[in-house]
Amino acid sequence: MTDEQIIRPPLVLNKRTMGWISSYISSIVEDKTPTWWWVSMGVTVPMTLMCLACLAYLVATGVGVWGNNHPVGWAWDITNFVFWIGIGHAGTLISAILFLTRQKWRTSINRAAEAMTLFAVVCAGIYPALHVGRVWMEWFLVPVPNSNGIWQNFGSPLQWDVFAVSTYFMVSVMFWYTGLIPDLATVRDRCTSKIKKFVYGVMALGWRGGNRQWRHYEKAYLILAGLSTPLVLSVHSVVSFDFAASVIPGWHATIFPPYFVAGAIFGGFAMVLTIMIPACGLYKPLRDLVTADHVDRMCKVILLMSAIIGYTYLMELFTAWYSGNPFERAAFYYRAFGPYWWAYAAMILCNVLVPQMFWSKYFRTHLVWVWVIVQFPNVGMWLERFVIVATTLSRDLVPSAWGMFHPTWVDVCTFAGTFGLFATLFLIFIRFLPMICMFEVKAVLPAADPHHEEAR
Amino acid sequence: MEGRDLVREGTIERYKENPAFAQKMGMDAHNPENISLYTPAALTSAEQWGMTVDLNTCTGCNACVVACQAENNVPVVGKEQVRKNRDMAWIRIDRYFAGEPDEPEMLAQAIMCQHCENAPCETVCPVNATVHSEDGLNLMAYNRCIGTRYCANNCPWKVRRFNYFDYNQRPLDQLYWGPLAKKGMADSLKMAKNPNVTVRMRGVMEKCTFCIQRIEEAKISRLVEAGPTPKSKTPISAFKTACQQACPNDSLVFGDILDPQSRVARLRGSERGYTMFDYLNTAPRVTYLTRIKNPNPKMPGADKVGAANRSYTANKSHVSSTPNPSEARQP
Repeated sequence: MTDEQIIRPPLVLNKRTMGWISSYISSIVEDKTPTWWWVSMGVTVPMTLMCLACLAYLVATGVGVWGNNHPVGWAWDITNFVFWIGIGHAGTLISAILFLTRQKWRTSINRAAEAMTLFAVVCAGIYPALHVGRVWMEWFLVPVPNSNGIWQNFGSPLQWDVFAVSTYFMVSVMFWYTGLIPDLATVRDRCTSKIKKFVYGVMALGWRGGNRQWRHYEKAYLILAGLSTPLVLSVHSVVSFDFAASVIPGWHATIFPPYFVAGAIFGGFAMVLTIMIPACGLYKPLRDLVTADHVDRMCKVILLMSAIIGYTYLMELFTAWYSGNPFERAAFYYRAFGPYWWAYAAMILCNVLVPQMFWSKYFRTHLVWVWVIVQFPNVGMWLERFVIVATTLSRDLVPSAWGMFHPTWVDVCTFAGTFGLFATLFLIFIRFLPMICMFEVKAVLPAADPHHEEAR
Repeated sequence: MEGRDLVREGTIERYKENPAFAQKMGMDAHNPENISLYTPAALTSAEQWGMTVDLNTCTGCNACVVACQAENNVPVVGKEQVRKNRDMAWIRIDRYFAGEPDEPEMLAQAIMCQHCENAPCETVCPVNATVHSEDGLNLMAYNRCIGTRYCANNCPWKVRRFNYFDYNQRPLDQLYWGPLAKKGMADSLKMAKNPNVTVRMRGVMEKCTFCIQRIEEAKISRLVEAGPTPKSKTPISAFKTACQQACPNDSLVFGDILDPQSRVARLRGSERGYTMFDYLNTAPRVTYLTRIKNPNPKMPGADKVGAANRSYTANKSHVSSTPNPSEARQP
């Protein structure tokens, strides 16, 4: 041990003060609605409506409006579900795990990442809720007493999914909202109109910023972080059990839980960067809070996760070969060289090869480059789920029952529509709620450190 | 067949050498014994239903497919949906070709729900819509099914059929119209339905039931015969499943596998008998009887007859693993 202390780069640039942080972040909520916001909503709201229309058509007509067929009982529905739920992992990871590990750089991105998590889980939830044949009977999934006297099958991974995803969503909402309360009080105190004062006042739940309230707040936040941390790992593990607990070659693999969790963090961080970089472009002073250093760290996480899933892809192939099981071997042979070879090849390109550019600091710190590169994980993670879900089913044990999946326009429009929904929710979030956690950022200012100079 | 030994056949010489040769074909040659972590619920009924399919006599005529369609109210979906792989047949004839491409040998195999004792479909249904009966049937509770399709995905035989549309209520040319399509079934179609079998709605899964309506009918008539307080065990009267009844060659045999006198029990004990995907330990109730060929050695190409299973022809202990689509073709 030495007395030397590592001097970390400042987390907030340009010597911004506490006052500036409050007034700038709040001003985003308080100012007149910018034109670009209306223009964006003009695009995303119709997309959302398109999604809702497609879903109404689906429920009214039957699952046949999608391209699902007899070997491929799950296709884009479950692909999109796993895709969105994966994206919904970064938020809680940043908020909970990085909080418990005292990573202070998380403060400026956690709020937006958590919001993104919630909206992604909303998009994800659409699919398991509405892809079933008889949506109106879905309450059978809920363990309530019923006149049939039939209980749920608690051995089914889908039943675990119901609990895992709903728990994750509820805990994430609580965690996010708890973190919002002090900032909502700040916005309430700055409001000029009566209506706003009332609405933000109700939402702030009577926060006065007293010592006792802070003590309670810190305890509650810590407990929620503790609760969320296992959830980050459990939700996607449970989602992976949908496949791992089956008997289908290509699905039945013990590597799935860690593989899925790594993929989720990978895809989630990519999505956080995908929306934070444009947000910082629109609100330029935010670059003092979400600095190149933040982006650099997130890129490093993406690089690490890319390495883990690259390893997993290789390990899957090795396991299939080493098992000596002709069905397993064939499943992976067809994954790489079968009719969906293009999806597999594109997946490797997007998830393993392109992210290697992040070894170079240049690509990690130049925002335009980062934004372009993270689009590859976004696409690649969707392809990965498609490869797992649809291509596995298209060629499994009995060759006579093989068949290709072809998406229909309803598949495409529903999926495109979920992006509209996601973006609409995010736009509403940045317009009406402080998108950076003001009080936490203030706590990482040099001014907030009472031992600032002494420690040297 | 992609080198998978789904249909098993051999020549008479091979059979004489070892009558049970097919039970050790492909993966089954070297698989360790299956061990289950679970204790499945006991099958307590006095009757246990099972079926055998004799590949020797099956010609692939499809009579069973038609009989099943008629008996079980299996919806007609129209050619457009068939082209999209949404046919609803509960039993199908799988065809595989072996030998030379210009002079292929055809192998036919009837595939229906195997009523696995450790059914992979049952464990994955979140709402317990597909469960096991005491007499060894894999049941579908249509009014409990919400249509997650997980069971169909997890079926190694891919015999489960999902109602992607309301085939019974809407005209086939208006399936995509949703609620705008004319609703209802013509009286003539209603009269064509079997009154003993549920007509399924859209969004539920269905599959072969081993003609449970006929099983129940037989059981009920036994109860009637035996009276309210049976003193001794009254035997169940003979009945056949629809596919069995239609099979001109008696390839399909259904019955009580616990009754040593029954044909199905004797055939199940045959050395020609094998079950598919033994390594998955699903314990199917359908046993396939290996096809034995006896070609005239003077016939041209006689050496290629009865040689569909590469593991046997290549005289290797197990199948080579890399699938080679050029050697065996799917239908």
